[in-house]
Amino acid sequence: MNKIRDSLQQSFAWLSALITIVACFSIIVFLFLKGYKAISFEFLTTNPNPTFQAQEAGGILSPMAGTFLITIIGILIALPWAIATAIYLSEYAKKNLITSYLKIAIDVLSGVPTIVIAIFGVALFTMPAFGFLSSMIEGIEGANKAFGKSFFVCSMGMAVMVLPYVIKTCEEAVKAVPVSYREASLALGASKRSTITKVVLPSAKRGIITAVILGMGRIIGDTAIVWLLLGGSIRMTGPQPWWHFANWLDTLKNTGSTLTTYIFFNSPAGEGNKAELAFGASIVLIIIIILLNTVADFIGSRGAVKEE
Amino acid sequence: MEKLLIDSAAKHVNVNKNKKGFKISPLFDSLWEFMIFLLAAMGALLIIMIFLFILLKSWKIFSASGLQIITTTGFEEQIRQAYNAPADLPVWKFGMLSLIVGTITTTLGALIVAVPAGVGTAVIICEMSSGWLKRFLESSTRLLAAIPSVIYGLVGLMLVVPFISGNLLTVEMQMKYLEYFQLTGNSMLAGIIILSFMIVPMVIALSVDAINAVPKEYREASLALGITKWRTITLVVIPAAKSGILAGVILAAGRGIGEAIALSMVSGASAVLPSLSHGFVFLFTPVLPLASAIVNKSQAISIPSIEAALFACGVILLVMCSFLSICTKIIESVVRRRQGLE
Amino acid sequence: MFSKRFFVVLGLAFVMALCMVSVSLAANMGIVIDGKRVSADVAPTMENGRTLVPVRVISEGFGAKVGWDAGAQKVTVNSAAKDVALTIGSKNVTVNNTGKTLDVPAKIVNGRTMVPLRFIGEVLGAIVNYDDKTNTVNIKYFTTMSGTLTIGGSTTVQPIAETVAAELMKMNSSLYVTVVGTGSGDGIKGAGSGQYHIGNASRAVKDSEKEEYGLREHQIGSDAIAVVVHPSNPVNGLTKQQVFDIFTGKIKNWNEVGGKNAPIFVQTREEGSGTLSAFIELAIETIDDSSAITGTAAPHTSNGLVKQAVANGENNIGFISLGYLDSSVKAVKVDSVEANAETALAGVYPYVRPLNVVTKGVPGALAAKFIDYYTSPQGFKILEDESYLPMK
Repeated sequence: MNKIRDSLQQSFAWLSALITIVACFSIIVFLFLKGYKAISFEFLTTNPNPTFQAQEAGGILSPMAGTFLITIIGILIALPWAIATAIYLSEYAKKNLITSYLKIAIDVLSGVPTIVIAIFGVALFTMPAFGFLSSMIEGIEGANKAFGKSFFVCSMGMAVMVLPYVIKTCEEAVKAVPVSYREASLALGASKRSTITKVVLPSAKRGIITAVILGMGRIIGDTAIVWLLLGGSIRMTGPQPWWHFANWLDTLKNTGSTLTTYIFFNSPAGEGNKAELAFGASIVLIIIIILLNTVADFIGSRGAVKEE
Repeated sequence: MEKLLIDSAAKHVNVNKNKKGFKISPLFDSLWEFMIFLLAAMGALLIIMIFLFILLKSWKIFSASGLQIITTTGFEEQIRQAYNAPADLPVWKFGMLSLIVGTITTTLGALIVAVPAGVGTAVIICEMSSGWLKRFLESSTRLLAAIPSVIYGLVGLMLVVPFISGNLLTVEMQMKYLEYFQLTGNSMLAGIIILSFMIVPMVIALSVDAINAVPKEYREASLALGITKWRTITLVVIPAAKSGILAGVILAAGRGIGEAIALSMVSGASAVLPSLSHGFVFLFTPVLPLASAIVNKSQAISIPSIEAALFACGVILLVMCSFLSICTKIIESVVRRRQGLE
Repeated sequence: MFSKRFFVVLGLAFVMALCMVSVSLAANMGIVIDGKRVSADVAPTMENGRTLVPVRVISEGFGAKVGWDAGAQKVTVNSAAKDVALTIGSKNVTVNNTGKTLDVPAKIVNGRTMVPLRFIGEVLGAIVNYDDKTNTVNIKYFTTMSGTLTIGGSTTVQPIAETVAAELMKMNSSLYVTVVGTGSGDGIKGAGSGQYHIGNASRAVKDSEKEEYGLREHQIGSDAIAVVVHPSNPVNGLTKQQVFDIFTGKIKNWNEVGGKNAPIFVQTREEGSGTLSAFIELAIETIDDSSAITGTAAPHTSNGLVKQAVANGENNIGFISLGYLDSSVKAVKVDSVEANAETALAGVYPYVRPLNVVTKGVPGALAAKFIDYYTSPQGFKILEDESYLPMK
């Protein structure tokens, strides 16, 4: 009797693993079957056109660039912030009320839905004080508002979203540095600051890189923040050509799209109405994510070998 | 390795001495400490700011509706009224019970599917597999976790919804329930299926962590007593990892509650209060979770009272998610304390 | 003495010759707007040293609407920011209710109203000059834009707005236009709160919204709304009354309108959707303005989703923007009129809605030109390419 129960339980466990795998691959196969026709060299190298006509819709060059931009800027904002917080929590924080509040606040922040961060961002960044991040609206009587949508603004929203995750991973990495390293450094007369910057952080490098990749993965996949803080334009709306070096600041202060909003816009739920292009862009997005995962695996395994 | 680090530390100390001497260093250090504290505090202040900000934006809704906002239904009708109300007579009273129930049922449904499957897979990964199979399972899980929600939404919209409307619904069923709601493929079931896919990798990852954290001695002791491997897993390992798994489940629930885009694409967009008295049609009820409501109803955001109502959805969402986060925190600390005692 | 008279005669002859030359040149004078030659059936003429140009052809090139009141001998020119009225033979013009004086009155030549070139420059806000080498009147309207514009709102209008933005930015190197697609509601709110210079709305702006924000509507085109059913549905046509009855829930079975015995499932759009507001106004309120779409209708968030729902459900009925029509659904005839661009333009198809953009009060010069571009000949082409109906 017990044996039957055991084997039932076992087969359930194997079955659930099997389902996970099958689900994973059936999603990818489904996307591939639906979207492979859309993918071509042209699809990857031309900018999208604002039109409902599928044959003139162009490609996904600027959405890919948009994804790249917000990911890089978002991480650049979040990382120093997160490292500082992680260092504070693991090296400086004393056991008191403020510290435990900090810890709870970061936990709560990690649970904030992205749509809430997005609507908060809309209300905050349209304040005129933040106009330098997007553009000020000029020429409307009685109105003093910032546009509140740009790559900068969107990246800041993203930074807030990934902050708690990056903090947690960084904190673990910093904590994993053996106490003996610190003691050795301090014993040699180094100050606490230089111990942290010259000894602790370099030793925690691998963990911090993992945190970066984790954060990047989350930024790449988000739609709600992009939808509200980047606006989901189809084209890059700054001065053209947007990729020109002289225009970099204007491009970042203007709007565009990312792969996720491109997929949303072209699915039946958006108004673009070109599902095949949405599937094509999904394939590209998944390939980017697989590449990122592979890099993370590579870094992880290389580090592991070193430690052994 | 260690020696190298000490060397580099020593070198740095020398440099410090030569260039700056000892006097400036403490000042610099305290400035640096203060900066770091400031950055850490900023992150923590942010959550208070977010909460106050959206609460302020939706205050009129809460003061007009009072507790009725979470005890009454009729959101769909109220949005219609608010939209068509003249500017001098705005509608501030909203009842979001059906949204809250919709949020809870989709998330709970997804947990019912995802938790056993996730824990099962985690057991396979940790205890039953090794070598390439383990690596393969792990990377598949990681990939599943990394697929953006909008892609899940797309798959749900193009695959799950047509499947439900084409194969599971009959015209007779649609007729029977037409007085309550229209049965389209967009339903709680579609939401649950998509959400399950989204949270299963999270459950797996956190369960794997929890199972790996169970001390080796437990297993060894159990195996030494002649208990089979499988029974060791079910009777010793999983109970020991229970709290960790629970924390993971709660985190996954938070993700499910906050998911906006994917659910808005599949779950039905109609704020119907699901009723168990409908039998299995309960699963086909179109529901509108809070997060999706912000997306779906945003077309009417130009009406100030509707904007405030959507911010109110945000407040309720934030309260629910914060509650879950704090629960996780409490469970974690309980686990830590118990492990410390044992 | 002799020499004095000689010089006078010579001078006179010279002046006369000059006049004759200029008259003969004027007869062939061409008009170029923004680098494109415009064909006008009456060429510009010279009078008292002033160039007179045909008002209609130039104003329409600017995207303005020209009206003619034969009784009062009055010409009106309406663009996004300017309402101009002038009377034949009078030097007085009114621009947005304030008076202005021309140096030469408007006159009629061969049945066309001619106005002094400076009118085009000073009143309509174009840069004009006369190039006597090529004998053309050069007018710059859409090529003198510089500055930043932000535009947001309806995803229906978004593609055409982005196309217009792209064309204008190509013509003006220091013009930056940002277009975001956030839905009609956000477009109206953003325009009202000063977040967008121009808000896009694919519906008429509600009175309560106008009051709340002090908004001004500009119609840039129209769009037909097709009533769609599953391709296998035997019903090919409905009357307006039947459409009303189906969508308000009075008719519940397809056999009441000539179909098979099956229930009707109504698909609708979310509140605030431009297509829904327009459909209610055109199909419901024209018959009974106290009725509403049936409560059991399933709401969707986009045209694409309504189309998908109808394509997947053989008893479903919905309404979508004409541009989304394809073979996966069937558009029914309404009062025996097929839904297509021709019937909609001809005014026989009943469900045609305006595509609007809104500004807070009178738009600034830059925003006004952007809006005018939609109603210019180049704008017509952009709208037609997207299956919308231009404001011809």
